[in-house]
Amino acid sequence: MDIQIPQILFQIINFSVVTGALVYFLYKPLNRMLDDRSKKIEKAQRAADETIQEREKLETEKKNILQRAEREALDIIENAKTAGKKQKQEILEEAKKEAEAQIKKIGRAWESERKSQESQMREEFTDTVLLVTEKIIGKLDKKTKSKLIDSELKTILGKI
Amino acid sequence: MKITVTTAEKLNANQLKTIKSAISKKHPKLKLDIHEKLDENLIGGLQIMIGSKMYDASVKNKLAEIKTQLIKLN
Repeated sequence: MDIQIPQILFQIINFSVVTGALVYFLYKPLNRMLDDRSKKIEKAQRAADETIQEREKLETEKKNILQRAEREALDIIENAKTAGKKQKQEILEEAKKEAEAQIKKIGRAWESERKSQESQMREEFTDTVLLVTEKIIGKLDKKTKSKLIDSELKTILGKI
Repeated sequence: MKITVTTAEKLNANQLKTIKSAISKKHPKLKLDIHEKLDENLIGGLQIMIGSKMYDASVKNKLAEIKTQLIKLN
């Protein structure tokens, strides 16, 4: 078998041309395409990471807002309870004062009524006693009445 | 001087004498003009009016005084 140098050279040049064409028309665009894709993936990954971070941030913020809202709600409930207790206490105090005032008023009215009735009864009793006394003295005999005049006469003449 | 003696029962002579005597001692220079008056409302005792001054020792007055005192005790 003869080694034909020109043929070999032709083959080498042919191979080089094909290789160069392949590198130029296929490898570089493919490589560029892969780079672009890789960059897109990285960009998408960064965007996804940012979205996740944003989401986590929002979650944290939401959690904080919920905690704050819960605290505020508890504060409102606590304040409402305290205000309710205070109002209840005030109402009770007011009712107690009102009741005491009513009791005192009723007591005074009873006392006044009792005194009035007592006074009336005493007056009626006095009137009755005096009426009976008057009747008894009126029925005394002349001699006794005369003695009564003698007795009173001494008193009057002592004053003249 | 006009003197009015009011009683529920008529005064006896001795009582009238005692009155005249006592008033004469107090007012020796005055002429006494004694009038007797009966008033059953006095119940007992007597009232003597000397001039414009009244001396009341009637049972009616005493009972009224007792009533006033008892009412005051309230």
